[in-house]
Amino acid sequence: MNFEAGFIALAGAAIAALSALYVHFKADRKRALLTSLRAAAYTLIIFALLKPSFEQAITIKRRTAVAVIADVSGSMGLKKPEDKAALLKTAIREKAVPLAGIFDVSWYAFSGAAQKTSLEDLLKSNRFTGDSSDIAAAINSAAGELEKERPGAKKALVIISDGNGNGLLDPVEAAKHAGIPVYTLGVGPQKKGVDAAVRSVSAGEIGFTGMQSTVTVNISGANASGRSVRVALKADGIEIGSKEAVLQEDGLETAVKFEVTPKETGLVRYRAEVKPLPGEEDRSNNSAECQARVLKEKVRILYLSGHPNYEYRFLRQVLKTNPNYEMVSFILLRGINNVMAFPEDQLTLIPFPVEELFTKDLPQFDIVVLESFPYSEYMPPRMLNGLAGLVTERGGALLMIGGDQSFGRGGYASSPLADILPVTLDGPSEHYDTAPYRMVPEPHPLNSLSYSKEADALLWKSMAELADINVAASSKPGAAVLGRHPVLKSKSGEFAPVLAAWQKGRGRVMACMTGSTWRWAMGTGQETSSGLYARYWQGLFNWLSGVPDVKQVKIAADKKSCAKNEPLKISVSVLDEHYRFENSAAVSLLISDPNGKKAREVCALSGNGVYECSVSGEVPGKYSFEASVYKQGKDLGKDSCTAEVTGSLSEETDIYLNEALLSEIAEKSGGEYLNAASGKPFLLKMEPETSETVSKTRKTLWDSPVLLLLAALILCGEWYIRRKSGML
Amino acid sequence: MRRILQAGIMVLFSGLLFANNLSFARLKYEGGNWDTQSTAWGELADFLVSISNVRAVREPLALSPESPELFNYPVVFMTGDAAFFEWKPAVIERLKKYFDAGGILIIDDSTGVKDSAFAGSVRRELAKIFPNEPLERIKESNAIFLSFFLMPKVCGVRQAAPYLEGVERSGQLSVIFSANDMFGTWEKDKLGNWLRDCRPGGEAQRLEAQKLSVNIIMYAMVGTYKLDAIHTDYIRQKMNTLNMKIPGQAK
Repeated sequence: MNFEAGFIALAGAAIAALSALYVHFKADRKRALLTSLRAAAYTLIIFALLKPSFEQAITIKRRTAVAVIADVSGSMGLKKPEDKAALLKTAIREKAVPLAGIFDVSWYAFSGAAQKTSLEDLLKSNRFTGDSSDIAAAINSAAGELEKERPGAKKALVIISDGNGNGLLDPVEAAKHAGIPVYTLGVGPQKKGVDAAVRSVSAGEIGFTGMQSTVTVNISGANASGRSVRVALKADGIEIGSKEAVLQEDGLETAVKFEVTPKETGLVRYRAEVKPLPGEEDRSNNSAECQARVLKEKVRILYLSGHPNYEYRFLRQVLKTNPNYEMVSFILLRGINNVMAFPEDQLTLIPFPVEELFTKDLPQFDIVVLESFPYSEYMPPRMLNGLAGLVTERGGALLMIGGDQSFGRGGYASSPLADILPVTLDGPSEHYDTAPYRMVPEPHPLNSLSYSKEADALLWKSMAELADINVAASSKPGAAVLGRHPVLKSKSGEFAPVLAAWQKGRGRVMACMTGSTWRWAMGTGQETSSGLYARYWQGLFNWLSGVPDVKQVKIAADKKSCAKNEPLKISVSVLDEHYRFENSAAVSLLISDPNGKKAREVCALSGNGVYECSVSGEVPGKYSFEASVYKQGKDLGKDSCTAEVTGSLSEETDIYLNEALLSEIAEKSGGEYLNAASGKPFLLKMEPETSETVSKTRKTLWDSPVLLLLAALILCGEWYIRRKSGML
Repeated sequence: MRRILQAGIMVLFSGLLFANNLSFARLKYEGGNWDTQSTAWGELADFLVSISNVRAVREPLALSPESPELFNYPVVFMTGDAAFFEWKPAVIERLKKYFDAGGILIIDDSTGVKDSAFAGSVRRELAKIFPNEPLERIKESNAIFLSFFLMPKVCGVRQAAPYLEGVERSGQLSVIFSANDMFGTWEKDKLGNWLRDCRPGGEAQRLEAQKLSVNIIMYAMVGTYKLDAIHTDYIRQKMNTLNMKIPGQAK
């Protein structure tokens, strides 16, 4: 019973008040009676006004809901070495049908999401043709369906399958998150002979020349627990290492790690092979491949800052946390005008090795960052010639960041760097504005923070305001302006560029006309945008260092492998020399099949610098694709990728029962696994019936005519006694 | 009334400051006394500008944790000498975001007494913001002790704790806590005399406390810069020459 608030308190108070009155008027019984009657009448009225009520729940006992989900994918239709469809039907009849006498069972079939069906249809069906076994999708959909039908009730899932899942999502994770026990019944032949297999090979997508990285080979075995096998790793066909490894129980994988040190840049294909065990018949799974891109060693960055400031602190965090970068930085903590109030041995300051840096060490760096750096106080302008040469001749990069000692105000207009910057500087009196503003991003791949234009627009809108800008005279022709000031204009009449970049000679130069991008990291307090800030700057530094993220021509296949004659989409994204989307290029695709036979296709523009082409392969093996991009006879670049055409769908080769997966699904969700051929009974450890609340009603205590009558009687009684006693 | 006017002027002025300069943004919390050491900031700013390249603004400004301006200041200063009210859940959430974004809070206990009521309130609120990252002693090998002056002693107007405490996340200190009334060493009267005597160490103690406050501010602006190999080799050499003990973890 749930009374409305205050009712119990009021009732208690009324009793207490009556008791107090009784004690108070003990000597005068008639007065006490009259007061009590009046109090009782008031109490009844207040009781009615408080509208007390209680909730009545109707519960009934119902059978526990169980969804039986049978696998009808292609692999269940395989007849050899055993007819799996027949095994499935036997399992349904012998193990699942008895459950219907105990629980409230509903029947489902799955290849992708589970589809409701009937027991009769399941037993009659001969259509085991599903082209996938998405166990996770089946769990999610059946659990959702059960919850819809029997909200709040106790439930369980029973999956009858060979356990050869090949969906995108992890079925174990799906079972864990379903929140109900998943029982699994395994059907299918078990591997009889011994088998050793390479399950996967993985290497970081990017490696560096001369730097050690790890290639991990996962192997497993069947009926070979404790047996030792030799695992060999090849790089582009040449063996680079081998190790002995011990196979674990069936279904468990062993990781074998190889330390590799690539010597050359480019794509490297790693192939792992496990030596067949004596008597091993199936050798199709004894090898696997992966590829990695090798770049030259870490990108070395020299960062020079004119004074301690937040822009340095936040950018330092971005650069220091990226293992691809190695940063050497100098901040001018003390200027030439500062007083020397303390002896040097109390300070940690080191001399700024300007001569050494700009004459000897400069070629060691890939990117030089100058942030509000007053070069003229430390060196003559000619010393910057080396830096200009590093960019234009050696393919290095320069990033100049704004501040009151940067660009024109820093004296760079008359320095050798003026020519290589993508903006025209305005001399020492260049306008430096410190009013807050929100940068207006231009459409450009480097400004892409998400996967869609709409999401990008929202993200940019959420970025905090910047707080300063060096207003350049203009952006130079050919420069890509990434962002502009919303109001302030340059002398050229354009909205003042905030970020501009271009290719200069062999290198790249970027002008960030503000020293307050740290505000993007701090955000506005609404959303934390430090992730966006870091991602954006990583993109800018990647562009400066020329890593493949921002290559002009980039090719990708939508799948790493596909079946014979299955369509494969090849996408080629193209940027012009200023890294803007190129929509008027000619893109041709050279396709090489595993036999070396070549064919050429033309890719068509599908929007925003992306050209697409659909291909398919008939010959099983590795296909390579090379995109060549031209615009008006000018070569914009080439890129290549590979994809594997398999001889058959995995559904056609998943012959054996995968007990390991089915056991793990059951174990992680609180269910149990049983091999349908074991002869043991299939029991669900669940109460057959549970109480379920089917409806709730609220009943009121106050709207009774008896209550009104009682109040009227009490008041009349009181009136009568008063009249009798001559008190009226 | 004077304080309200002062705070109002500070907030008004805050909009005029250039963002990349160091502003003494002071956390104005409810209850207790947030406005201790009120004359210290101008002195500290002058000192920073005279000995280093830090661009510091003399006039402090007051920010409530709920102020929309809070995120414009990556370093915020908090002082006090009494217990203060519990922070509302919205304030806790806002400060969590502030620290996640990279903000640093520098706290100085103006009582100079270990485990004061102010320190108790600070610890209570920090435990809510960082339930899994407790306030811990900052090791001597931290960049904070090398960021400008070489290993200044941890002290203030008093010597309540010979160590700083902090909350470190991803290799960066988000909170730095001094129990010694460190900023109190900068307070002067109208005639330009130091307002508080430093005990027990006198003027030598003041100098060390002032050096430490410079280091803390420098750390808040350049992070772990002084732990870069190019500096540590030089610093180690210098410490060897001076027969100083090199902290175990200094590179």
